[in-house]
Amino acid sequence: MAKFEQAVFEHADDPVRAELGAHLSKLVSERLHGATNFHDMVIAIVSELRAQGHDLWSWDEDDDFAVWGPNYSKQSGPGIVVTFRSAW
Amino acid sequence: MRGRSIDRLASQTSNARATTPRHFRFHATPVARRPTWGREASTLETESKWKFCVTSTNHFAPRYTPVGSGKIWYHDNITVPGAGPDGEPVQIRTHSANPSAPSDSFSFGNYTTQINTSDGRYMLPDGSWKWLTEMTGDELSAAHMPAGN
Repeated sequence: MAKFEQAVFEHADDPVRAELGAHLSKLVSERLHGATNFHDMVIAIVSELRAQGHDLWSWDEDDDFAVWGPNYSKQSGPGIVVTFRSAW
Repeated sequence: MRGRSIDRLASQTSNARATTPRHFRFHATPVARRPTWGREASTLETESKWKFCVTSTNHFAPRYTPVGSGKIWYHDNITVPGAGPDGEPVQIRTHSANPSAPSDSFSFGNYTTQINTSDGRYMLPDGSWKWLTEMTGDELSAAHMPAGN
């Protein structure tokens, strides 16, 4: 996951950032596909992204989706917003 | 929440309340925020939020059971036909405190209601509709409307 460090996203230009995002989405989707518990897997992935420096907090969740993004109560700078969706 | 009986709900509610800590309670208070997530920096904000949507295709995964077992111990949804900005259905969703929300957000320690379309637009208290990634920090807070404490 090192290639997905927050600093890499922050310093990338838009095309590279888009490529990183697409790659990250693919990897995360694969992991969700193999998960037996959607929300447990979301928490595991969020923990790993946090370890890579991403400031992620729950923006919303329900049975079949979860949205995580930067702290909206305090400025935390640019950051990723990840919408996890289950296809149940 | 689906398929529950009143007795089961009452039991789970009681248990969850007994075991779910209330970290703190407060009312949403507008505070001065630095501009990165504020309206005044909306251009920067748009450019600096990198949105991804990832989807599981596992159709056989067990359903998440929200009552008493999740981080958000209670939530319930109502689908209202025709109430969306373009006449589409909306979901009115109320959930208990979200312990994974920012620790000083209203949602962290209180019940909130969200109203959203299936494509992810949320209604703000002024009646406008926005995607979460379009919102300022204040709007993200406001999209979580107080529904109790």
